[in-house]
Amino acid sequence: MSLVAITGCATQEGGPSAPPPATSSSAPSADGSASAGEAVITIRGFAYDVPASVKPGAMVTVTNADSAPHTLTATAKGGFDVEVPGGGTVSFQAPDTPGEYGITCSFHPQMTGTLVVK
Amino acid sequence: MNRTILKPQARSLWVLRIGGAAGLVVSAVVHVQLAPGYQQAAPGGLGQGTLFLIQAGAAGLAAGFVLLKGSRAAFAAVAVVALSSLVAVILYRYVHVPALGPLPSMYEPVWYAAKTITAVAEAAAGGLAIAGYALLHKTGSGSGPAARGGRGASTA
Repeated sequence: MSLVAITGCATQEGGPSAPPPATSSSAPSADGSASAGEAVITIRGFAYDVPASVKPGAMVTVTNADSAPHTLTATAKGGFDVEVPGGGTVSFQAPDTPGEYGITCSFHPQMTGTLVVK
Repeated sequence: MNRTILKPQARSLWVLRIGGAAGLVVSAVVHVQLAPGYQQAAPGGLGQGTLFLIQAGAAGLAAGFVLLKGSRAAFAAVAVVALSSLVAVILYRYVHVPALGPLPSMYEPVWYAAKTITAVAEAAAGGLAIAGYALLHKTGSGSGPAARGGRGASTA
């Protein structure tokens, strides 16, 4: 799985579905759907390190390497919104609808990126 | 006889000096550690990371000042640095202050461990510094031997 750097302010395309549930743990979660695949997003130095793309409905693990808490929040209404404590890990389900989802941290709006679901 | 009366005050002053300095050092260390990330989080104006480093520098200077001198001016410096930092962290936690001149928008609506530690350390340093200042003011001394906890001080 290749990782790409933060992509800056993104535009919305795909129509996000209802917010999927998020789970929190101190270690990466392994309870994702094998068929849908898994993906990892790392937050480090107040920046997102996002995979090139994730599969629809995949379990996404978000690891926060900063001491400050962050969120991974879809900029469009109805998208995902998970809070990741400093040094913590949270898993959530990616939207079922393919598209490009702009992401931001609601605590630190300067943090932006794009999650591509395809 | 006079010396036995002075000893508890001298001890108290040293406790206040060391406690105030320690609080500021804790605050300075956390601010230095957080500065790189926050410079990226709020790069407008001077940048939040730069402001954190300025705060850490001021805190270090005030801590050194009160340890070396123990005067009313030194306690006042500790109080100003500590309480202004405390006001800032609380203000930006609860109020969405926009960017003002060289100050970026630093609103962060969340508490976490490092932030709480700095706030507590700054509150403690500020309180101890005010107590030290008040003690010196009450005894009528400021930068004399009493302020340094030395011999021959006057209790007025």
